[in-house]
Amino acid sequence: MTARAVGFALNGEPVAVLAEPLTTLQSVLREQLGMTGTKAGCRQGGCGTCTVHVDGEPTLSCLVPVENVEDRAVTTIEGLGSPEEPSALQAAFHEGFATQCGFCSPGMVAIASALLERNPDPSAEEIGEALAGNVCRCTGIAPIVAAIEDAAERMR
Amino acid sequence: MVSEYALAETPEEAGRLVAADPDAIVMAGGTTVMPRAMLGELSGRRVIGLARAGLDTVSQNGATTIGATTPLHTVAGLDGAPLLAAAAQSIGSWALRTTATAGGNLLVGSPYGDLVPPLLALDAEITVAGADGTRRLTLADALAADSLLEPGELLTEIVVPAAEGATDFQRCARRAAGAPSIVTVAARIRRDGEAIAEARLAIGAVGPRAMRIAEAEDALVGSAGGEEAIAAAVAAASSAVEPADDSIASAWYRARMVDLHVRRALQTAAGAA
Repeated sequence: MTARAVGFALNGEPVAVLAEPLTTLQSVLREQLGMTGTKAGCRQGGCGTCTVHVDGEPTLSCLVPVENVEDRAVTTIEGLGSPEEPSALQAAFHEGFATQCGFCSPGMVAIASALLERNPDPSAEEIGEALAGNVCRCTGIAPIVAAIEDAAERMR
Repeated sequence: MVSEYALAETPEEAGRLVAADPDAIVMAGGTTVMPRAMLGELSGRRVIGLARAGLDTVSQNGATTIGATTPLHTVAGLDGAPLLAAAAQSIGSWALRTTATAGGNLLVGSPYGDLVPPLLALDAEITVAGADGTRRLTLADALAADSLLEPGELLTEIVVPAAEGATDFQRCARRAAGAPSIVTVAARIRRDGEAIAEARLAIGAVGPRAMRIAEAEDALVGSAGGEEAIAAAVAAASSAVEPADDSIASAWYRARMVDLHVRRALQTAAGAA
């Protein structure tokens, strides 16, 4: 009796789920909707790998109960591009080897796309500030910053 | 699992829900409640959610009125409120600031709460709704009480008077972003001619609560804000705080960082005033 129906737009398509109280958006995306691009890292808002967009705002999906996004628009990495038609950011990450194990990449691309929407020509420092909450443990941040600069150039 | 998540749809409904169930956990952005829920620490508890209650409006009309659930990201972008904006921008990461709220930051306690010293330096007030209506009190008075809110009360807004004088915010942490504060300092200095007419110094993250340092403020008022007066204010701050030893920093290190960041904040504010 405690489960609640929640409807929202996922990557432009309406979806509805049944969720127990305080189920995170992250677990609904991964476990109910099959959107496994959004990763579950620290589950406490500290690593950034679960970053998605809610009404265009970068949001840590591990901290948001799915009830809160009722009637809102959620965009995950799957909605930003596809293997066949990658976004400029996804292509730049791929070609610049800004992915290694790939675990942080969905969150990196999500925060970077929010940045480039607001600032099409960010400095390395502005990119660094935007990425401050996204942790990468293998490639190092340098190739990621370079890929974002590359994508910004492709998009201009 | 929590027993219920009751999402208020209006400010009035939020007030009614909280007044009717003082034992419930009140959740604004959820950045500290959700990790606890994930760990199973809130099993069987009832949670009242404010995320859709419409308590997130900001109005600027001389004073700045900030709804309790205004995201820190919005506070960080406020025009004409540089002290508050700097403090909000220093908290967490961008994707955290879109979710974490101003009111939550005020209530969450140490080692969070980096908005509190700036709000103290700006003589901010808070509006609290309870079963018998609303009350307005200064944040300084609220912090001096045993508990910021009485059971069943809801923080609805933060009111920040137009700042007079120059301000500065200093924050010391192990990393520039995403690390808990070792010390935060907010300073405000207003001159009348050459002499300092009004001074505010507030320090956070050093002990359990942020505090204004009246002795340091007194050491500055009437002076020209030179090295000697600032040294006296630093000494007053140094003896007023009781630095804590914890996993973030040792008391020894905190004490030294208090001195350094109080000096920097006062020099910057006095230089610009």
